[in-house]
Amino acid sequence: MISSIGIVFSWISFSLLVILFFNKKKYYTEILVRINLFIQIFLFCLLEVGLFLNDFSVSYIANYSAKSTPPLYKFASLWGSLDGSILLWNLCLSLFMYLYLKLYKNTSSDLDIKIFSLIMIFFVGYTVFSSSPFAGCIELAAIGCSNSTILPFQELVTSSIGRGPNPLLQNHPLMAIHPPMLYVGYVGMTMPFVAATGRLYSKQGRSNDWVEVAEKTTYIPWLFLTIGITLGAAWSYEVLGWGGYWAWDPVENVSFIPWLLATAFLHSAKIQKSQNTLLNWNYILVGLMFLSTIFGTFITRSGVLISVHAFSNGNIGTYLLFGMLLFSLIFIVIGSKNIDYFSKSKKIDNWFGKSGFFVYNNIFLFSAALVVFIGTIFPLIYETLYDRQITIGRSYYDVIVGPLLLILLGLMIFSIKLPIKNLNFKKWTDENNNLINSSLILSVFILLYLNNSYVLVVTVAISVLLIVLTFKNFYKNFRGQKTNISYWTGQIAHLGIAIFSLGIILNVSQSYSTEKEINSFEEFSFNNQTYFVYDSIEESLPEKNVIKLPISNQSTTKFTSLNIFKNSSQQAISSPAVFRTFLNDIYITVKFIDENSYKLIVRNNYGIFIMWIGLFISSISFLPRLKKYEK
Amino acid sequence: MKKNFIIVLLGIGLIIYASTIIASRNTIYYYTTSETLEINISDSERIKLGGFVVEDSISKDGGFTIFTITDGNKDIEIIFDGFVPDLFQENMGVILDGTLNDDTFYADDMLVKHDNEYVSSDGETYNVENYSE
Repeated sequence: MISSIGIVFSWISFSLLVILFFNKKKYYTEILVRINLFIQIFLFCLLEVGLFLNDFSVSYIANYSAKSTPPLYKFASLWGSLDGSILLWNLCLSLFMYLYLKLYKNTSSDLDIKIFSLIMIFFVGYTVFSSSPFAGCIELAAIGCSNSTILPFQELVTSSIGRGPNPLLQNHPLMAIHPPMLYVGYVGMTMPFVAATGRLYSKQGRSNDWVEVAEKTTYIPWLFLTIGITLGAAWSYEVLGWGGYWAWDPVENVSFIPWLLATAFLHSAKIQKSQNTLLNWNYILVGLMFLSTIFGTFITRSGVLISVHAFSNGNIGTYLLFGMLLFSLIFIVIGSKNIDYFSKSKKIDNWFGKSGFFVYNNIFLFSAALVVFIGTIFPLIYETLYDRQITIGRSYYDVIVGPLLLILLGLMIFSIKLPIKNLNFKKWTDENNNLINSSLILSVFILLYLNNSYVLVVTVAISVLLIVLTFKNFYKNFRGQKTNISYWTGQIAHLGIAIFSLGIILNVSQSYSTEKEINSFEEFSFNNQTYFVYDSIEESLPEKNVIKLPISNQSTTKFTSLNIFKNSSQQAISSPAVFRTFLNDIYITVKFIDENSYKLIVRNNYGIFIMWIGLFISSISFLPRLKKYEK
Repeated sequence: MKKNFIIVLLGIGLIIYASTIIASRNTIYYYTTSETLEINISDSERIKLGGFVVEDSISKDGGFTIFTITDGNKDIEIIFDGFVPDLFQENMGVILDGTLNDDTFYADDMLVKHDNEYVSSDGETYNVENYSE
């Protein structure tokens, strides 16, 4: 039943979008966008209802949910795998289409809505023609469903028990929130793309109107992308017991690339608005932002990561590749129509003034994006050319991306007060003499005390200087100046990044780990602290068995645990016990349990809490900007 | 305009060139299971071995994790002594670091090629049989 209703309504949604694409009357545009939004909300709720009613005649539910799955994870199963996540993708897309229509619609032409509907046709089309989350099950597997149909009103078979979501995904509530955040960020990048292409197509857009709208529409996706990436890192660290937060894994890289590009665009859009320069560059950035999100989906969803040869198995890959071509074509055609407009772009006169620094910022952010992109596709290209499998070590990223980010950090120092005309460095150093000296002294002290690499010293010196200068700036100017939201947003975001850099450099350079073999009711010492290990406790929940091991230092007791999920033959998932102080985390995971003896991995991770604080500050810095949305 | 364009292209070219060079210096090569069984390696030589974890092959023995990996053609039994990442599961691509001894691979380091797509037990996202060349 749910299967048929869902499929029929997907078809309706698809036809409405096609009508919207060809529609010429303004009046119908709004109605169609609204109905489409309602249908997408309905489809989302429908699949949720199916998940909660355990309707295992729907293939997706049989394969990614189970009777014993707890409610929260049942809810989250909707985006637990490809077909369902496209449903969420479409819902976000229709929400953004509605938002765009209400707030940013180009008044003189309908082309932006047409491009938007084309993009939606593309994604809804996938659920209609290729694989629907509502596909009914027509052949059972041992557990779950092995064959399904995308036609409605078929004879369906119902499996008695669902397979359940991936154990990794049901281990912690963060995993339920992190993907939708990223989706909102990803999908939102459609808005600036539509704003730019739609407006530049009509003559009316050839003022800087398009870049203003494109900038405003980038705020929401940028914010959600930042939060999504942060939550992903937090989940990875606090829940997965590997002790790290970022692995330069392709899946992570493809969320980082649009973030870098969007950050670059948020900066360079400003310079276009005030000085009418970098017009063509901004157009390219907006296009790349959007295309990189589709590229990201392609990379993570098509199977190319497993092997280039696995690519031919799934059809989503070809489909997305086709979409990328189509949208690039639209982008290039509209761009080439505007060559004469772009050539009006003013030259940059002051290479050490405001515009110059914004250009440097763009050069380094864009280079970082390019480097991450190359690192991500390098193994794929290598395999295609030489038929030999490789992966890229993380040293690649450390060697290139690290310095780039460090230079960016240095540039932020100058962002506090930038004259339009060239900066007088001598005057600048004279003004901030004391602060520069004191941060240099601090770094020399660190060098002597911690006896560490110059990277650490340079990073600490720059971030401390940035933090101190920002605070001085707050103290001096926050009240006196007429509050300029956009300026202070930037300053707070930079402050967050500086704090984050302190944390990350401490973490990278100072952390260490060791293995301990120990029995119940014994103690071990680590980093001048004694830790007492109790006896393990077994707990049986409907969906999993948990073995908890209490460990206490003098003041608190924390649990490290192994989660063994029923219904799935996967190995256990371990969760860490984290003893947190401001400066460092003592991070303990169980490697192995045998009766009353345990093998523990004990890590001393520096700077994690400082990193989270920095990222938090950077993320919330953007909230006041959203208020400007309504204008 | 034209001059700027050329500068930008040159810059991008330079970055691509430099990062390709650095990338190729930081690559981790690995052998597939079939390759490993064909080539001659001494007992002490450390190599990297990549493949997919075979279903129902994972077991624990003391501190060791024992499982089998495959490239679709040849299987190799792995005896792993090291920290098993949470992402490790059946059907997943892994790269192991260790030595081959009588067709058993003793590994102490594992790299998981992780993908946030759940690979179901009937191989919905990829098929191990299709994987082989």
